[in-house]
Amino acid sequence: MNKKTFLLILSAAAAVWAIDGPEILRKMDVNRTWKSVVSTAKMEIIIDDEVRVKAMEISGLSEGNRSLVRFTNPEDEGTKYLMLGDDLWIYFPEENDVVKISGHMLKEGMMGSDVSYEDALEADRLSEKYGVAITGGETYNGNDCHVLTLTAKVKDAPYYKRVMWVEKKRFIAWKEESFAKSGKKLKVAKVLEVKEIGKIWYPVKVEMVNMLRKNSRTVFTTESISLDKPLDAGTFTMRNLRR
Amino acid sequence: MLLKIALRNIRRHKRRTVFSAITIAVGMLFFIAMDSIMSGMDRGAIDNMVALKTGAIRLQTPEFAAEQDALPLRGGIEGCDSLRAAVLRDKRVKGVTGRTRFIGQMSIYTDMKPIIGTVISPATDSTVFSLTDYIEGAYFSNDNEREIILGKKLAEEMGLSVGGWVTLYALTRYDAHNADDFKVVGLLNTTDPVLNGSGVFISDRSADSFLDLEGLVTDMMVAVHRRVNIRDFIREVKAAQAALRSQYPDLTSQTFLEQEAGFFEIAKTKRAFGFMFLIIILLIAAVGIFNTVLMSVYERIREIGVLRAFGFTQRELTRLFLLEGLVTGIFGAALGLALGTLLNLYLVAYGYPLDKIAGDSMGDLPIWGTIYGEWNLAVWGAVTLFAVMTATVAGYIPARKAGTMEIISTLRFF
Amino acid sequence: MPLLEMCKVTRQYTKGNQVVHALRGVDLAIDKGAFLSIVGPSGSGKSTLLNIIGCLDAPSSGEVIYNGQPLRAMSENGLADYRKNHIAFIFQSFNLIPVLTVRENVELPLVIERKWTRRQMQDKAMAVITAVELGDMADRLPKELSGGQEQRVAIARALVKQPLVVLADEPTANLDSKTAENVISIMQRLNREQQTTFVFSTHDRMMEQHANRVVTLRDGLIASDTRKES
Repeated sequence: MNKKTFLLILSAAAAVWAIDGPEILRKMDVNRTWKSVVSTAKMEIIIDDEVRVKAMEISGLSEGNRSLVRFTNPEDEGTKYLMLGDDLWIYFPEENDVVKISGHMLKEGMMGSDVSYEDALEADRLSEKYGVAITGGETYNGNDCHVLTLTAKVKDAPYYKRVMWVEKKRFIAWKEESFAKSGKKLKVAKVLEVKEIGKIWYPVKVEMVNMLRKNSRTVFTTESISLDKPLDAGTFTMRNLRR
Repeated sequence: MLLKIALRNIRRHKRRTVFSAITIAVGMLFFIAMDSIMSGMDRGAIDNMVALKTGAIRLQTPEFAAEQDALPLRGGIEGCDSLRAAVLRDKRVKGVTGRTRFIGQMSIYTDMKPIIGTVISPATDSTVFSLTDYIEGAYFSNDNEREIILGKKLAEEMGLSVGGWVTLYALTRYDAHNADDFKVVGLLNTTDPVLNGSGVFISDRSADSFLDLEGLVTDMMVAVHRRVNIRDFIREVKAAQAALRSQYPDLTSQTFLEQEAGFFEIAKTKRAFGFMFLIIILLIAAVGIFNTVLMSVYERIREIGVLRAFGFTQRELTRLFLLEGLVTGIFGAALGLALGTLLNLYLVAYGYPLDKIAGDSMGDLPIWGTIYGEWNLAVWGAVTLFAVMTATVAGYIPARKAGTMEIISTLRFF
Repeated sequence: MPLLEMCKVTRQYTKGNQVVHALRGVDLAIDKGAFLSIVGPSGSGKSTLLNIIGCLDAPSSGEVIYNGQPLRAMSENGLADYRKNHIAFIFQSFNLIPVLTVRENVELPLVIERKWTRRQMQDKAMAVITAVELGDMADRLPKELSGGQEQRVAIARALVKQPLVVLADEPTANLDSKTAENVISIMQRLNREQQTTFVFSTHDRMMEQHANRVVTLRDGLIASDTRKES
């Protein structure tokens, strides 16, 4: 082993040893750092052999965690979601009525899918509620990954334990498993496809499976996206929700 | 002589009289049976409700009561054990137990079903509720295993039986997702179809870890001694509630009537509809009587002419036919009462097997199994009076007509 | 003063869509104790005349005066009283009350009068029943009697309250000649002994012969009026 090789190994090792859990979370955040997002997406809810498709237009502002979703598939045409911070309102065009979703309801599957409102709303406060540790390294889908284990520090953490497979190079979380206190696996989310937008690797195709309902899964596909386009803050108001 | 003519006429037209009387009797029989069954159903529904769901009175903190539609695991009652002991000192109170409801889902992996689960205290629950009377399998044991008792119909839908395992998913008191496996120890086959279709019960011990309850109890359920007469029972419950209110001003209380106000509202409407239905039956009987008396008038038009030719006044003629109607009515009512009594004796003693007769077609009834009849003497009196009056009035109209007819057109000399 | 007087009495009624003039202006005075026979072809107005006298029918025009009092002026109760206390009918088709026995049928007019005790009613009824020779049939029902017996019950019923006027519509029409004779003799005896006025319509020659006055009607008018001296 020559000196050069040794140094390489050392530096690699140093790189590995130098990085810890919180650091990885921080690096992952880079991939979510944008001021605004405008996208069109579809959500395929697959129950047994039946596929239901929800299509939507999304606009969002990172500041204040604000977003507005408008459904465009025929059955839900005109239905809108407005998220402001931790609050969610749904507008139903047929009843011309706005319903506020809170408490338990936020944990329910959105539009009959395996994605809960809470999942959709979750802000990046993982480190507040979870202790993070690197618990291994694995090759996942051909990508060299850290295996990250998050354990709830407080009782009100949504999941007792979460395990993430985070690519070492680009800090993309390819897979996440959530567990209950009993040790039961509740949810599995997998990123199926990413797209590079500027400096950001954006997961454009994500699959989610509720492990308590094994016959169903949800695939969320972003069809077109643009980041950091200037957005009018007036988009995210109750008045706009009703319009 | 009037009475003699009336009675003889009734005897002479035996078939017609018997037909009228049977019409009245059948109308009354229907009325009595329906009223008895309806009262029985009401009583049965109330007994069910109190024994399985609501207790007589429910105590909550105002904080929880305000949000209870969402069933949060917050706003529990402090010092449950001492409260229980204190409430039990009231002579009217039969038992007290804590219950906590939670929203969750039940999974057998191929299917997931939203549920409202109830956390019960096995030690005290049976002082208020009668779940144990209806259990197939076993009640909660003292094992450390997580055990669950399910409504039988729910279990059947999910393909579960005693000894099977089911995964319960819910949010803990701290809104963390949790899921765990529970062993089905018992199935509930109660007289309340709603409970059979959606009942999910776990013990406070397993709930403590599953839901992080830390002893939280949101509902204190109070049972009041049963009374045979429902009005007495309601009076006792209200008195007990008033006592609780003055003793515990910082707790809110709701009687079963208040808890299930919607049900009682609907029951009232149903009752009104049922009553209308019965009135229609009696009206049909009245039309039948009307018709027979009218027939009798036309058949005896010549006779009426003779009576008038001999100086009968209109009033006397009218009285004659009224008398006939009255006698027919009394006869029919007596028959109806006799048959009604017999039928009701049967209904009270052996009941009416609603489940066997209705099958699955009446799933939203708040009661199941066998319904027992009730004695409702005021209603009987009213219906008897109504039957007799109907028969009399039904006789009156054609009688008046007969009395005012041109005599000549009744006699037809030419 | 005649007991009953008819002045220009007319009566028309509609039968289907046809107007029938049953009486076209009848003037007739009947004295107390008359035994008057009204004859004429059928449809000549005999029955209508009797009905109007008996107040079972009202004239279309004209006046019926009883004992100096116009019937038109009487109230419904007054008319009922007139029928109850002064007049009796013998119907062609008997019209007995089928649910009552012979005796009860005969008692009926007395019951309606409401002025007799049960005992008195029974005695009076039995007296007339015996007079019409039905004493042993008193407890039978009308359906157990022959036509002649029924007619005799009808007569007994008419006579029991000793009315001033007996109106009889073809009283012998349904009877064999022997019974008819019997009935006529009963009527004659009453006429003789109690001055009861009889007005009867008939087709019966024999009956006509017994009358002391025969009024012939034709097309609603009096065609002839013959008095016989007895």
